[in-house]
Amino acid sequence: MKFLSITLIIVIQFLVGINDHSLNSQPNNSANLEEISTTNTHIKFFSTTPIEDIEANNYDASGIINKSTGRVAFSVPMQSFQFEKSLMQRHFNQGRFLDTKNHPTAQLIGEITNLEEIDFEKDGTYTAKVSGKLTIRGVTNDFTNWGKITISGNTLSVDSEFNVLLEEFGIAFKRGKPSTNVAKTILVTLKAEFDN
Amino acid sequence: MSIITIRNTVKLGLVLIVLGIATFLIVTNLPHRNVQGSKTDTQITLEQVYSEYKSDPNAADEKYLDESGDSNIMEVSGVFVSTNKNLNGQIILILGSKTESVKLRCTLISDFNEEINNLIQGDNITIKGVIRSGIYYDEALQRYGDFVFNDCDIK
Repeated sequence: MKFLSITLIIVIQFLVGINDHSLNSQPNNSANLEEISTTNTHIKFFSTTPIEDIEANNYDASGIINKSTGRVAFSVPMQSFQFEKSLMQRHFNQGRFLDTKNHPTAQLIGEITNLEEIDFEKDGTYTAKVSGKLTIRGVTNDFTNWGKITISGNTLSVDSEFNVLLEEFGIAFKRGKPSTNVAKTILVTLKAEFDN
Repeated sequence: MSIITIRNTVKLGLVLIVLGIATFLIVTNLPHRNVQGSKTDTQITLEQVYSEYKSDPNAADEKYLDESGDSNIMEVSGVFVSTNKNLNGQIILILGSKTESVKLRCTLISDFNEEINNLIQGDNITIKGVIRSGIYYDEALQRYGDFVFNDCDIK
């Protein structure tokens, strides 16, 4: 009788375990299947002032889109930004500007809030609204922006532009050359291509 | 003050102005560092640098990243995984490991590299380039990222 009870308890625990496991893992597996990722990206910083235009390009960011949850994320290695002039690149990396040694990546984590308007299985151009958080130089701010998702065959492209107010990320030049040559607001252009 | 002294002062002033302008132009137009022509700072295997970042990423960043962006020039040994092209048309070489689940993405300096055509997956290779990012647990991607190197070539 004792043996039968122990066996019954073990069987019940085993069945409950399977059930728990399937409950926990099913949504994750499903979500993972719907997640696409890429390193095929281009992020551009553009600053314009009456004195000069400054542009920097970065082709090393990674990105993901989860087509079922709408989660969107990009991770940007900050030292990969390339400037035409080496001196500008040095200034960009230094502590009083982007401080890339201590904050080597910038991150955008958000969600597509109008996911129901996007059909990832159908070719076309869709407008996506993304809300989330943008972290640059270790400072995180709320982020909301519209972007364009283009689906063509097996390729999904993302194009977006948004402004970054440097002061909101702890970057403010009160005097000196940067205060006149670097714009207070930087235009960021993001392009990414995913295998859909 | 004699006329000769005034002339000399004006000449000196002009020379200083010209020198100042020349220095400004030289400094603001300094070329980018030639990574392949520069001395290698660190020779290491992919597994070793991966181990350093896994155990203490801050210490590894302190060791390999530079405040100015002129970070460590490294020769990293691993195995050839694959190549692809980025949105700028540059070749990206993926270096991997036989024992660890880690990747290093390096952008080659040349758009054409004949040596790549002869490589097959699993070949032991060493790349030289400048580190742009170590590996960290990435909250955005919810996984560990890849090492990112630029200005690379195969040794």
